[in-house]
Parts: sequence; structure tokens; C-alpha cells
Amino acid sequence: MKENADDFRVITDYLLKALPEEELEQLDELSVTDDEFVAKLRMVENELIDSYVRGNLTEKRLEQFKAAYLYGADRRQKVDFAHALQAFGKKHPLPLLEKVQSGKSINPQPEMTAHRWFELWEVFRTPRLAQFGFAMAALVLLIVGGLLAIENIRHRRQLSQERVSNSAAAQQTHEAQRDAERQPESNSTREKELASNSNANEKEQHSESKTPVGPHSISSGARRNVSISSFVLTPQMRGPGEIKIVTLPAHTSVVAIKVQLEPNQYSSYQVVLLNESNRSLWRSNTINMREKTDYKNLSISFPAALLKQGTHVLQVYGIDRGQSELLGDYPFRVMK
Amino acid sequence: MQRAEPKKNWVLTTEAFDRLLTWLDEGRASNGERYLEMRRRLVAYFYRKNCSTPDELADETLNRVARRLTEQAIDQDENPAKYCYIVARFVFLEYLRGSQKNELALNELRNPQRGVVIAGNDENALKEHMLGCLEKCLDALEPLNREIIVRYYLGEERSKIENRHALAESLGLTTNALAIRACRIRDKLESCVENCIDE
Repeated sequence: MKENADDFRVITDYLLKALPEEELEQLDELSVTDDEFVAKLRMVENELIDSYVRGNLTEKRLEQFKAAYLYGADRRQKVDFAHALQAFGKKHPLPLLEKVQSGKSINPQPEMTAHRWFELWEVFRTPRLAQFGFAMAALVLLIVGGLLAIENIRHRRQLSQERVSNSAAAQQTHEAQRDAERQPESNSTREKELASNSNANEKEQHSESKTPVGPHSISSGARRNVSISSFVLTPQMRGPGEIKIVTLPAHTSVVAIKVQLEPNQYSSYQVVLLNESNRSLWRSNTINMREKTDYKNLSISFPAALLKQGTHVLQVYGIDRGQSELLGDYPFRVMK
Repeated sequence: MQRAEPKKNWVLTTEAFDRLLTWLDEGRASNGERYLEMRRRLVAYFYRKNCSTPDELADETLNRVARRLTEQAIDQDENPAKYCYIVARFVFLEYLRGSQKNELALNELRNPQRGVVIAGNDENALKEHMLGCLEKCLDALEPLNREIIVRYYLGEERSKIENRHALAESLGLTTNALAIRACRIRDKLESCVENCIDE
């Protein structure tokens, strides 16, 4: 019986009272005595409610759900919660888009088949729904691709405008781009460009270590219309009382940061930007480093609009075989 | 010989409650977590049995178990969860007998649409309030847990499955371990939202 109880469909039938009385009683007992079953029961219940909220239940399941499940304040509250969670997801779709964008999530079929829970999910999927799902996924990819292309064009346009407005700065950027070819691999072209910009200013930045420290733009002091601001965060600058202060000009559109790492054994990294409330604002793609030196620099960039006045933290994670380890926090204070 | 105190007059003392907590812990100091978990399971059990007062019935079950413990009527080898379930079944059967005496209550149990009907505007306001609470509670979560819960429950159908798979991979977890973790975070979040709404 317990083996059957592991089955998603059986648990769904149990929740919807679609099992014979004898089996119901057996599962009743497991629902109080068996930790593993309880965990699965809660998972299936959540999935069931989410499917109802999203309108993904088959006609039969919907009838069962309404008749046997949807009653009482507690369950209505669960449904309301699922609605709220869905509304939140629609309001803040970034994490999903990031995942689709990264390409990691494409073609997970081989490992998926090894996972019983998601196989069992088939119970809710009619062929028509599956087609709809594929269509939606394709639509999401299309939208994400479009948005990324627009974003890319926008940044390229900004860069080219700056090149036109200041030939000196353009020359500097060009040289920096050539430097970037010798730089460690990064999985974002835009990041490479920006990284190279901050690379070009590295010497200058190192020579200036007073606080407050202003950001270094690709044309600092050379022109007024700065759109990219870059600065360096070092491990030595961390700790109470040593927080780096960064002044961002109002017209800054992109922030490029070079993060100096302490010696570590990792060759892949991910960087997460947090705000004062520890809320994640941005997450880099996986950054791969080919160089084997002890001292590594990570070059990242993100829209300046993410940074508000106040303290932020960059968290650097080392990634190895799918496991991640927090390597360090790099706090900095933004002044606008 | 001293006469045993009638069951209905029995009151849960601090000592009896402590004994119950220790017994449920089975040698592991859970700081009351095991008791709360058992109560949650019992409430859910009575809910699934369509009882109108699942919380009260869960408390009644645990009170009876505590009383049996003070009477030293439970074998040392008894499995606490199993024993609680047996007592819960009795409590449920008693409840059913009581309900049968009251046809009105039974009718109410059979009515799936029972409960307070909320007017449209109030309902919208409630939903807005809940969403506000959800955002507040999400903010209170640790960043990693927030990422997990948001990503885990995002997307439709296949994109959701793919999203989960990628998330598990990025965290170095199996999809099953991720599912359990996400479920726990969701439980926590749900009770936070519930408390926020009640405030």
C-alpha cells in the first residue's frame, strides 16, 4: 500500500476522496504516522491547488476538486494563497525569464524521466494542455529573446553614441575590447564589453583608494555625458567601517564592477546583487574563468537603475559540479 | 483506592504537557517542533474528514494522549505518531456520533459551499491585502529561500518543470530534495501570510 501511496495519482485521488474507503483509511493513517508520505502529501496538495488556480485541471478533476476539496475557510485560504503566489509570479517574472534565458533549462528530458514526481505530473496534462504548454514556452522564449535583443541594441547604441561623441573614449573602448579577447570567458557579450571598459581603467582605479570613492566611467574626466560607471571591489575593502562608497552620476545607465576575489579553487562563479533588505536584485549568469592564477577578477555589469541610494551587497558564489558555495560578500554604499 | 479523575474534568497541566512534548520527541530535543508537526497533521486529518472543528479535535486528541501518558497507560515501545492516530480515530468516531445527533450540523458538513460569502469589492481588497502580505513575507525570507520559492512555483506546465529542473541543478540538489525544500518554505510562507492577514 505504501508503494502505491507514493504515487502522485493515488495521493491526488486520496485528497479528492476518489479512493475506496479501505484505501482512504490506510492513507489516513500514513498521513499522520509517515514522515515521507506527509511530505509528499503536502507537495501534491500544493500542486493540486496551483493547478486549480491556473485552470489546468481536467474536467473530471475539477469536478472532484470542487466537490471534495474546495470547502472551509482553511482550504479557501490555501487557494487564495496560491492565487497570490501566481499574481506575484506574474508581477515579478524575472527569475523565470533568467532561467529560460540561461539555456540551462532547455531539454531537461533525460533527467526528468528519472524523477518520479514530475513524471507523475502527467496526470494533469492532457495532450491539448501539453501543446498549449509548449506554445506558451515558445512564446516566453520569443519574448525573452526579443527583450534581450532590444536591450542589447539599446546598450550598443549607447556605446556607439559615446564613441561618436568622444573619439578619445572610443579609442579607449576599442583598446579595451581587444584586451577583452585575452580576458577570461564570460557568457555575456555585453559583460565582456563592460568588463573590458573597467579593465581599461583598472590602473587608475587602483591608484585611487580614498573613501568616498567615486565610480570610474569609461571617460571619466574626458566628457560629461557618462553612461557607464565602473568601480572595483576588493576583499581588503570589506568589513565594518570599510564599506566602499560609490557615487553614481544621475545619467549613469550601466554599472560595471570588477570584483577581486581571494584565492580559491573555483573556475566558475555566480554573482548576486542584494539590496539593503537582502532582497536579490540581480543575478549574473555563470561566469567561467580559464586563468589559473591565484588572484582572479570577476567583471560584471548590470543596469544602474537597480541601484538605489543606500547599501548593497554583491555575493560571489563559487560553482563546481552544480554545487555552489558563498565565497564572499562585497558591500558598497551608493550615493546618488 | 483513590478514584480516577473523570475524563471530562481532566485538565492539561504544565507537567503533563512537558511529558507529552518529551514523548513526541522520541529522544530528540525538537524544541516543541514535533508537537506542532503532529498537531498540524491531526488538523489536516480532521479537515480531510470534513470535520467542522479540526483544530479543536486535534487539541482534544493531543489532550487525551497527554492524559494517557500521565496515567502511564502507554507502553514505552509505542510509536507516538501511531498512537496519536489511533486516538484521533476514536475522537473522529465520537465526533461523527455527535454530529449525527445534530442534523443541522451534518447538513452543514455536506454543503461544500459553506462559509462566509464575501462581497466582490471586499474580496478584491482581501486579495490585494494578501498579495501585500505575501510580498512582505517574501521579503522576510532568507534570499536563497526567496529565490527558491519564487522560481519553484513560477511558470506554466513544461516551463515550470524546466524551471524547477534548472533550479535544482543550480543549487546542486536533486529535484526531489528541491521539491521537499520548496514545500517547507511554502508552508512557512503560508503561515506568515496567514498571521499577516490576521494582524
